[in-house]
Amino acid sequence: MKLKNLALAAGTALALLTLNAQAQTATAPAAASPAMAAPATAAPASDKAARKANRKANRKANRALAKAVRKALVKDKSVDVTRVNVRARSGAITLVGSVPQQDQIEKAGQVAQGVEGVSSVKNALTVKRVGQ
Amino acid sequence: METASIRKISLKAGVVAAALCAGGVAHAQSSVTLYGIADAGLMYQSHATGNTGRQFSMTNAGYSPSLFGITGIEDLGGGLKATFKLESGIDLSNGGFDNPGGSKGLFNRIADVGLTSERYGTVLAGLQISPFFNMIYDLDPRSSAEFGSMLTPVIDNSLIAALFMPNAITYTSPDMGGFQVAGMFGLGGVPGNFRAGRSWSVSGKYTNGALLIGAGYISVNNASDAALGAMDSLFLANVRAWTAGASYKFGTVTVKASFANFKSNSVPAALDPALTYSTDSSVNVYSGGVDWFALPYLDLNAGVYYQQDRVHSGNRSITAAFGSQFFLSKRTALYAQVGFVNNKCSADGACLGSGISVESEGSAVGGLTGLGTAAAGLGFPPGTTVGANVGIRVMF
Repeated sequence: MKLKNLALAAGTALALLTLNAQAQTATAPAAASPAMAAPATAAPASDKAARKANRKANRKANRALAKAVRKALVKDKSVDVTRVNVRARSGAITLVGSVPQQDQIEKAGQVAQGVEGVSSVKNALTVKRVGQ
Repeated sequence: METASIRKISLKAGVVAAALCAGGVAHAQSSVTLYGIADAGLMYQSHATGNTGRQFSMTNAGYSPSLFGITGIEDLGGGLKATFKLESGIDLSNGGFDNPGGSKGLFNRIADVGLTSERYGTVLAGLQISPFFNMIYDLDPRSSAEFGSMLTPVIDNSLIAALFMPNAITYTSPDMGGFQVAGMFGLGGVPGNFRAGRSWSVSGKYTNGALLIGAGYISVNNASDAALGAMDSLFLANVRAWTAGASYKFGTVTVKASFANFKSNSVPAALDPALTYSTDSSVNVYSGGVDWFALPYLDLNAGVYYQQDRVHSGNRSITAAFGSQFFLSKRTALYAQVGFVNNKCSADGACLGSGISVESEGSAVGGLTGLGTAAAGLGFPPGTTVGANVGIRVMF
C-alpha cells in the first residue's frame, strides 16, 4: 500500500521537481529518486496544459495530506496544535512552528509519521510558551 | 523514538518523595526541569521615551523576555499529574530581576502549583498568566513579541494588570472536540471587602488545526487597600477588557485578525502619586497580520495594531512591525525587527503615546489618558517614531 502511494507520488512529483526550487531534496529521497529517472522520457511529451493539470492535482494531494496530518495532530490531544503549521510535498511532511512543551515536539513527529501516505517527516518545531 | 531531553534533570522518584512528601506513592515518576530564555540585542529608536531624542541601546529581551524557571511534574497515576512552576524574569543588561509591575522579587513572574489530567483538565493556584492574555497571545500574529506587537497595547491599556495574575486559581478544560475553555478567579483577600483586588477572567477557543476562533474577557479591581497595593503592584488599575478574533493557516502561512477593548480607570493617589492624572479610558485595538515560515528554520511575521481612544476622539495610535527569526537550532535563534509607531493626540490633549517596544518603556501608562504624553516625560511624542533591533535568543 505504501509502495503504491510512493509510486503515485513520484509520478506526480515530476513537474514539481523542476518548478519548485524549495523542494525538500534532503528529506524526501524515497520520492525523489524514482522521479529523477523518469523525466527524460516523460517531460517532452507533456504540454503546458497537462503540466498545469498535473500541478493542480499535485497541490490538491499536498493539501489533502497536510489536512490529514493536521487532523491526526488535533486528534492526539497531547499536542497543542495552535502554533503548528504543516507543509506537505509529495508525501514529505515538514512541521514548523512551536509547541509549549519539549515532549510535544517528538510526539508531533511520531503522529505525523504514522499518517497514511507520509513518506518522511522533517520536524522543525521549537518550544515556545505563552508570553515568550 | 526515545529522545531523552538533555535539559531535564531527572530525579529519582524516591529522592523527591523523601525530600518533599513523606507519604509519597512509591512508583510515582517525577522530574524537575530547569528552563529559561536569554535574549539580548541592539536597538535603535528615532525617539526615546518623553521625546528625548534618538537612542541606540543594548536591550535585554528584544524579542522574547529573558527569564529562568524551574518546573516539576510528578505522575500520580491514573492519568493525574501534580505540577509546579517557579519563573523569574531576568535582565541580561545587569543581571538583575526583570519582573512585571516593578515587583523585584524572585519568581515574581509565575509561581503556581496544581493538578493536571488529559481527561479532566488542569487546575493551578498561584501567580499565573490570565486566560485573557493566553487568548491575546493566540490571536497576535507577532506572538506578543517584546517589540512592536499586541503586548505594548495590552500593557499600556491595563497597566499590566491583565497579564500576570496574583492570588489566582485557574481551571483549563481538556480539548473537547476542538473546544477548550479556561476560567480564572483571583481573590483580593482584603478583610471586609470582597471586591477590592478581586480579578476574574474567562476564555474559550475552537480549533480544527487550521482555523482558530477565540474570545477572552478579564475584570480586575484595583487594590485600593494600601497593604495589598504594596504587595501586588500589578494591580494599579481597574480594568475591564475583552478580545475576540480568528486565525487561519494556509500551509506555512498563518493569517490572524482580532479586536480588543480595554476600559481602565482611577488609580488611587495613595497607591501611586505619579498616576493621579489618569482618567477613565476606553480604547479599541484592531490588529491583524501574517506569520510565515518561509523556510523550516526561517520565520517571517508582520503585524499592524491600531489603537483608538473612544473617550477622547482623535486620540489614536498605530503600530506596524515586521519581524524575522532565523533558527540556528531548536534552541538558538537570531532575530531582526523593524517597526514604527505613529501617535496622534486629541484636541483636548489626550495622548496614547504608545511605545514601540516593551523594553523602551514608551508608555507603560499610555491607555490611561493624560499620562502618555511626552510633555509629562512619559510615552512617545505625537508623530512617527521608527525603531529597529537585532539580537540573539537562546532557550534552554
